[in-house]
Amino acid sequence: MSTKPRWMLVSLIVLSALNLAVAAPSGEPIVLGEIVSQSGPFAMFAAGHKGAQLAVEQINAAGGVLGRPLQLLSHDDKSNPAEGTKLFRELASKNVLAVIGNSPSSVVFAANPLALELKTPYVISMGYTSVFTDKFSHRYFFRTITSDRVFAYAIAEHMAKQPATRYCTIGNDFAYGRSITAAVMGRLKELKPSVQIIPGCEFWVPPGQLDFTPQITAIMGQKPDALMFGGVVAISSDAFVKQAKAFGLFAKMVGVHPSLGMPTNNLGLQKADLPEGIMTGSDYPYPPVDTKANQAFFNAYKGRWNERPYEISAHAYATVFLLAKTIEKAGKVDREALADTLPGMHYTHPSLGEVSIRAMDHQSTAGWWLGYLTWDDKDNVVGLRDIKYMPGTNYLPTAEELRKIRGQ
Amino acid sequence: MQKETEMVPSLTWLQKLAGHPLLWGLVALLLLCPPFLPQTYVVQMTDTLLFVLLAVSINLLIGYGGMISLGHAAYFAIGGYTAGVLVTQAGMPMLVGLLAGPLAAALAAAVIGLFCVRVANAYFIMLTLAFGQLVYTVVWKWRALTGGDDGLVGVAPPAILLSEIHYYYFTLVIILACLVLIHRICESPFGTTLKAIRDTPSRARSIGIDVAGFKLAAFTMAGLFAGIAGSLYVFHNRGIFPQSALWVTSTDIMLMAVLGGANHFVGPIVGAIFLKTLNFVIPRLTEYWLFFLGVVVLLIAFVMPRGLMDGYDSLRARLKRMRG
Amino acid sequence: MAFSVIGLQLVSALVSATFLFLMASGLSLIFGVCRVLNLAHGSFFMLGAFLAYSVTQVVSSSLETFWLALLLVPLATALLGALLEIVLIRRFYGANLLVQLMPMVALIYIISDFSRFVWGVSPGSVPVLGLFGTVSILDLTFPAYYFVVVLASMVVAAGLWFLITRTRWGILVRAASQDREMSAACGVNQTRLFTMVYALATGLAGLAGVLAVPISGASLEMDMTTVVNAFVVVVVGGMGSVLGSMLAAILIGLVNAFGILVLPQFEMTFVYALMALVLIVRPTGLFGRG
Repeated sequence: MSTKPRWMLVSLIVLSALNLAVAAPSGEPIVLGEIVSQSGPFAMFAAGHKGAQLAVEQINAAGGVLGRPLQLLSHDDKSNPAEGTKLFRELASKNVLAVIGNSPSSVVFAANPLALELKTPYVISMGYTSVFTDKFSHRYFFRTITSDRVFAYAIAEHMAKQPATRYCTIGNDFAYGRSITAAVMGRLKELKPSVQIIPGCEFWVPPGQLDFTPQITAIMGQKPDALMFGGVVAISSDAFVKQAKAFGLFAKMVGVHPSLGMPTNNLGLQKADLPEGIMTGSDYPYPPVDTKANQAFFNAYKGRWNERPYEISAHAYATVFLLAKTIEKAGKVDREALADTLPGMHYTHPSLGEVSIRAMDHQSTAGWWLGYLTWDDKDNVVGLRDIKYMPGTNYLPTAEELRKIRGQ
Repeated sequence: MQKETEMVPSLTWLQKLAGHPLLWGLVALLLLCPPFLPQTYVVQMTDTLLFVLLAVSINLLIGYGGMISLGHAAYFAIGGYTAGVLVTQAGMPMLVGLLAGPLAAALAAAVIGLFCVRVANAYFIMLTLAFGQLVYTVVWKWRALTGGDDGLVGVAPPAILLSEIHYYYFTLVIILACLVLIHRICESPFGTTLKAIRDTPSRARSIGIDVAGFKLAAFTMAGLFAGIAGSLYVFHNRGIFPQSALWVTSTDIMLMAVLGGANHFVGPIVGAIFLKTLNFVIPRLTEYWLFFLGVVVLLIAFVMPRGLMDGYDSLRARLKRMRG
Repeated sequence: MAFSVIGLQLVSALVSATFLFLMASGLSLIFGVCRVLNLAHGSFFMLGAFLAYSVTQVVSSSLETFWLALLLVPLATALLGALLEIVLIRRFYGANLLVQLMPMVALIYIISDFSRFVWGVSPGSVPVLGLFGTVSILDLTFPAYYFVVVLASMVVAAGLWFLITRTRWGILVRAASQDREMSAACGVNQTRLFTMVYALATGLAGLAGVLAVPISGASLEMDMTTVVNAFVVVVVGGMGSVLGSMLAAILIGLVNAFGILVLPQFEMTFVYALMALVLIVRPTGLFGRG
């Protein structure tokens, strides 16, 4: 905390120096549309907007794109896919160059076909469901974060080396919840055929569910070796972890959750709520990854918004910088030119380093940090220890596999 | 004097409708404006039209039957899903969807209505709410048919209706036809009987009116029109999602009718346009749009507890008195 | 094995029933006496949870602070309820249910966004579950806090029963809910009675919120889910009947807890199916007067 004022001072000086050195952008702004959940069950995705806004401010302070200022036109989809499609059509009918997506997978699922129909690039920085790029990718669809296949496969490799064979599963009953559960369990069975899900021990709860008592007692009654609860996310995961810990569930079985280290899934947890030592992961782990790029991002974000970044903040921030870089490379402000230039682009993600957009499925090579759940005393948030980076390239489908998935 | 009162029943429904100058002004606006508006507003207007029909259809229950339903979105969703499933999964043409959707909604309303019309007041509210939630969970859980929470996507109208403005006029024609039809129903002996049931149910019963039967007929009809709105919606929106059946959607529809004034035929129309416009404008001004929406609704509740049209009427009466 | 499974599900059914009962009894009371359908009831539940979170944030997340919150927060929500009754709800008594709808929906909107403004979008935690320790019976282990919750609701149920059947105030409440005009004619100060009933019910909702917060945390959206479930309980139990609310809450808790054992894939549907079944047999609910 004590370093904060100093950092703010430094960044202020740097910013003002930049302002003096660089000609202010002029001319008609380049508009990027953004669909973001700011209310409803995924209201925490508003942090994505903050990351995008920060990037726009930094880019404009450094002279803009092609000498023109960048502008963000954001609308709240209220966590509702119907609202999301309406907003996508609205943005596409305006002069926006591309639409950035900071919404849950249900909204992406609904808006994705519209991007093709309306020939408007849709670049998502949230929504990990693998089918988006495996199956439904098209000329105008891009994902700048990893696919759930990456962290599902990474954690399945880890679990395959463990003795556990009898599994129970629980997940929120929505696209991502089912996708991640199927990916982890499917890969695990491939790697270790003796693994099985106990019949009748697969639970699906509505998203946003907060009382898991009957499910927890039912799971404990089945006495499995391990519980895969990676499909329980957002506000549900906080409640589930708390209650499961109180029942001593994690003392009786291994808990498997590949993304509990993500702030979106754990911001409602305090130190006393936390079971120690679960193998999990995040693409924005705490304590913040100690690289120059991440330090700069972390401090700028904290200085701008007076709060810690979520993973979605870093994703949206990286996405805006990627788009700016792509526009510069294309040399013109044009949707078709953007869609032509984005495949193969390299960009820097604060916590994941150098990554690129694959040409074959428009999927980012962004990876995943695996580590053990712990409390980060310095930042006073849920953290990970002994983290290890899993590059996306190790797990993403090859061109051959993609053809198979798409049934070509 | 005597002669004049005798004249009234011989007025045709069209002449009666002509007595709503506000309505005709609105229709002219709806017909003439869209070509000059940006696409965004045309999409928004199509959406608003669908909710106008929903609000007017729910008013068949409230304003005429005295039945307050918090589950009306269910029939909207059933209409939309039926049309969508027929088109995407059975490869039927749009026309079949537009016909089957409303029929399925009416059928569901008839079955659910059978249980709901047996009770009144608060029981009716909660029963419709709970049945609405039942429909919502079925839509959510029946993934094979409805796509669950992914929704039913890729429901496109034929090429000629792909353009926003074409679909707008297509919707406008159907909605106006429905409104005229509902107006005729309300002014018919059937509508008058419903009003009698609303105002004095015991008296209606004592003079031999089949109260439950009339209520069920109104419930089914309201479901039918909600189904029409739903099946038009699914093509407009290129798909439908479970949220459309959620009770929050029902509350919105209800709020439109009450806010506009359930005692007027025009009330729900005004309410739907008013609320849809607020829902469009306020989120573009502030992140805390729900708060300000709440404040506006609260203010209206205080000043015009019976809705905007009622407030408009009393204002007009006061002006008249001042002039006179 | 079979015994432990049944035992575990029984307790979890009771815990779920507790929250349902605390919410539904208040809804039922308000409707019975004030003839208002308190759609905003879930908002008081959410406020209770968030206020408890704030109290522990400001003081400390210790057991003592939690007890303090358990005492203070229901009073605060009751006070807020009384205030809202006086300045807002009261104006819509006597009007039909339709007219009451607008202020109720407005209240839900306003409280929901107010909470988002004050407490932000990330959920709040009151980490006291562990401090209560666990209770072991045979080979079953429960967090002791769950028994505190069940006990608290039993105390409330007994208190409500005593209040309504054994006190003068309870006689007034019953009189008003049976025949409002007659009780007014007999000189009962209804204005004050209504305020008190509304405050009592919103206090119960706040209490449910505080009791829920160690288990589920405080988050936006909990207002909506809770009030719909409470409605189902009231419909099944019958409006205006506290006993009906209690039995319906237990019934729904049991159906859900054992339903997921048999057909886990139908999680959400049991409750509504039960409701539909009860209503087909008894349209006014198990204990309703119609």
